[in-house]
Amino acid sequence: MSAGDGQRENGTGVIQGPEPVGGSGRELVLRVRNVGVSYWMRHSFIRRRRFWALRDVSFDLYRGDSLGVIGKNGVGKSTLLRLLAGVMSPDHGEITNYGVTVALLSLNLGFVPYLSGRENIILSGMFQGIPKKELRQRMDAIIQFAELEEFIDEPVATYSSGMTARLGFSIALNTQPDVLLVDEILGVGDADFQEKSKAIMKDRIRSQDTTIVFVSHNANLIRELCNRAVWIEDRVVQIEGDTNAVLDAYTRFLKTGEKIVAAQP
Amino acid sequence: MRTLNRGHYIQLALLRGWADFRAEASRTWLGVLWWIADPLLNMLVLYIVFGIFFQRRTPNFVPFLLIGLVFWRYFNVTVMNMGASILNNVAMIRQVALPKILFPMITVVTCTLEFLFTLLLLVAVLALYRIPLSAAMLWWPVVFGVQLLLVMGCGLTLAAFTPFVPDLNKMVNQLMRILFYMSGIFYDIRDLPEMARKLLVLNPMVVLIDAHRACLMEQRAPHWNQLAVIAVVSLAGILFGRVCIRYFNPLYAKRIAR
Repeated sequence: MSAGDGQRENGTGVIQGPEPVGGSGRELVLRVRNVGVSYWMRHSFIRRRRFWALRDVSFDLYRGDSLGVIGKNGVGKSTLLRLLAGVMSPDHGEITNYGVTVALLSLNLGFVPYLSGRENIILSGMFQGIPKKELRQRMDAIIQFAELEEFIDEPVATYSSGMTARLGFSIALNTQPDVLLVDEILGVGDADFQEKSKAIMKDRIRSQDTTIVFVSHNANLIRELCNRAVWIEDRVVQIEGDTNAVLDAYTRFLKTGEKIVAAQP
Repeated sequence: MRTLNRGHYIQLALLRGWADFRAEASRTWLGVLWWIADPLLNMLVLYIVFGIFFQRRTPNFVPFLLIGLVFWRYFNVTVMNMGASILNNVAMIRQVALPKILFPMITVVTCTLEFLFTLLLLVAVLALYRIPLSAAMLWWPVVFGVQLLLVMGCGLTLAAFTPFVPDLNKMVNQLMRILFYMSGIFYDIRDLPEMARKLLVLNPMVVLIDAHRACLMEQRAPHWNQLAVIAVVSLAGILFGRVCIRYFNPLYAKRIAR
């Protein structure tokens, strides 16, 4: 990977770009170009096989965008989010970050079951990059949102799965990166809380203030929530652009098996 | 935009290390008692085998054995746990971009806290055997500091490579078993022939265990020049491990993924 003038590598294969030149008047925050990722699969002591999770993915993300990523299961959508989050680096191509923080919305991250809900808020929140001071300030709001006032000083091991999910979701909501990556999680916990969390997530994704990349295989949900979309099939971006155009192409493909191979140099 | 500094992660390592320590204590029925019972039982076995069957008792054989065992155990347990720490946190590594050095650092905090408990046992036994207080004991924190450096140097280096070569931890475990017999835990290396002694001194745990005994029960100064060599090599090891972990940082999630 070559980095040009004014760019530096931060060790995750993500290039820190210079300030973007405003072309369309919208502020570019992430630029993904011809990105591919492979894993080595170990079969035996010596034999290894290279497996490409993504071959050729390119798109731009602008501030305030809600970008939906659509595709069938196993086309590398989750790998794409890990790349954007900086968890792993691409094997070819480049991701240019124009000075924004990017994070995956992750539930129950690093929970220690033997500790109380209160302690897990601090620890899990810090793992997600929220400073301790901020977590202290928001403690009451987090507990209230999770509806766990009575149980917050009990060990998380004693919680039901619904209660744990509520706590995990309430903490994760406080991670406020510039770009939030969401992987299919809409609605967690018991029935009432599912409605509440779904509504919050939908608000977040629709909102103009937050930039979101939302991965789903549900075309209707993406049509409802996103202003732009990317369709990935066969580990390659098929089409990128206005949600309706992308989803029309995707649904046509599901019916007829007809692909649009995006023109790649 | 939030910028996270090193302070955030140091704070997190300390908090999580403390949390894991308490979780460990509350998890089993006997809890903290295990940290005292385990070395005590180990010592009993060694005492019966070497003290009674082989009649190798030196004066104050119980404190002699216990010092060797306790500090060996701290080294062994901490290095092995640090080695596995990055591999053991795959789930988190695949979710958030974290400096991976965080995981071995959490482990070293947890293990050191547990070790402080075992230290209470040591203090009790030293008092029971009426080992006199002496000025040499003031040197002990320095000796412990050198051991901590050694533990971190070995642990960080091991942690950096274990995710790519999972067998490494098993190999090091075997090595530890051999080293156990070559660390002068249940014998005094000064009783050995010149040749054997010169060879064994290449094992840093021989030097450290001897230094702990010197300060804690023999009222003499440790071999500073040998300790200095260990400290310098360990610092190099810490630096090496750190550089490797940073270099491999974006690869861990991928290598562990499948």
